Amino acid sequence: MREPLLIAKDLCRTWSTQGRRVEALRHVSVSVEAGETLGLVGPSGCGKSTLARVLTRLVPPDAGTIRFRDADWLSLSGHRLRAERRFMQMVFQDPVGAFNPRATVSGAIADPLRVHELAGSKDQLLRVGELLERVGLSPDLASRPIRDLSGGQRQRVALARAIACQPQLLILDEAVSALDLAVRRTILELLVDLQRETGMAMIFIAHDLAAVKAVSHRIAVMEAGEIVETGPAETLVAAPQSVTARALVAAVPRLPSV
Amino acid sequence: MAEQPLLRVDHLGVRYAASHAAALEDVSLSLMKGERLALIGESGSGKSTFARAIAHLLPPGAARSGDITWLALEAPPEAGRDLAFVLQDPSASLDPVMTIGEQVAEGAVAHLGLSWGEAYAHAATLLARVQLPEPEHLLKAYPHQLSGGQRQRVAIAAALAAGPSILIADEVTSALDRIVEAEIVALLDGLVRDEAMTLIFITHDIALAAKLADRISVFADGRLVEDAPAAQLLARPQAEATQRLLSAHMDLSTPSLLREVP
Repeated sequence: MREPLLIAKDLCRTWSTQGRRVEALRHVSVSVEAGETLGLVGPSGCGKSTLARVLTRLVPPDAGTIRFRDADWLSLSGHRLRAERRFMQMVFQDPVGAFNPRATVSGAIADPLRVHELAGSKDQLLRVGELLERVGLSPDLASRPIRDLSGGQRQRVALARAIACQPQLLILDEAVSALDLAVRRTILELLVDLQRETGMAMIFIAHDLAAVKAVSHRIAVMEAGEIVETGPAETLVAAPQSVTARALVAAVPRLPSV
Repeated sequence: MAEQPLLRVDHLGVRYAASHAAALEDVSLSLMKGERLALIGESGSGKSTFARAIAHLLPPGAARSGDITWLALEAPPEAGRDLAFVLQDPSASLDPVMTIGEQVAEGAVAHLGLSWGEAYAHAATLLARVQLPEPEHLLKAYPHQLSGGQRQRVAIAAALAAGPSILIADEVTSALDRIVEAEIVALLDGLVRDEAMTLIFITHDIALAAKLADRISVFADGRLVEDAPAAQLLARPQAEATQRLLSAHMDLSTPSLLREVP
């Protein structure tokens, strides 16, 4: 049997602020199969963003191992790390903070194409246009500064930049949380569509169980630095076992039946 | 209790100084005393502008047209005293270098004429009222020592300090996770009932609006496009914007997007 795309084992990470120690990750283990979406849900401060940062190597873990694409992900460095990074991309909550404020749309998307040598300088603009169309934006936006775009448009640009690298794993950290509900839904549909087309796996992190359930094959529930429950999306939502999962299910606003 | 009109807004328009487009155009609406009204719409629909206009909290340079008439009140309500405003981001509405106690007590000193000693005692009561643990201890704490949900409770306590009769809550749960959101909504529900306040609840989430409000006003592109009792609006949405908000709603019964395989 093939090894899963990502296997993280016993990840630990402690933050120290003002003399207080916070155990953000306590022996967290997760795995993601190729083409699968793992939803990661939990209340604010449960450690889900720390997990995303550790997996993408934005911060090192205190302990634990990560295998990604059949290799020891934490031991990679230099050249090989830079080359492998394109296969694991991340989209953040704040589409403004994620970009250089002076960047244009085409600059932001062309950067990874250039860095990872995915398109020659002549093909770059063409490829940027294709990517913009793929995420539902007009190629005419290419020359516009990113700060002129709406939140939903910016998040589409962030997605275009991420898929420009043809990643095998896309990690989305509260990527739709700041968007209007109508925009949120169209971005979720786009994600599922992109996954169907490219076969990429996703880790979809959010505090909103309804959004997580809509796009995930499996869901992991986090609380206080630990994964307290994991299961197929439909099962977990229909029969939550842990206190946290039950609270998350109960907290989803429902429309009164009319 | 007979329904007593509290506010009548006629042909309200607002234009911000830096913008050529109107933020709000020709909005007419009335509000009963003790009513719970939800203002809903997408970002930029004008719902927050409407709330700011009636609270006289529009930024300098904003041009207002039309009439705002307060009925059943001797004078227009004063923001902070008769009318309280709670905002989306409690980190922005609370002062980072003032203690929780000072910030909650301040309103009572300014508007109720209490001494600081009396106001601190009042603040402790209010902190308990918004279900924060150890209120006496909390008086001396600073905002950064609290979680986002706790800070929002403090902002609500500060808003209640002068005993307002009207509470405007503008996207107060948008920055919070769903579990804390449900707690804050339950808190507002209880406070408004117990204090017999009039509530204006602003949200882009139609399900939250339906949970808390008797009546829902839908804004789109600076206009009021639908205004109806909550149950009626959900059962027979008329405006396209209302239908859009309803179809954007997702809960656990929403079919998985993964299953839409051709």
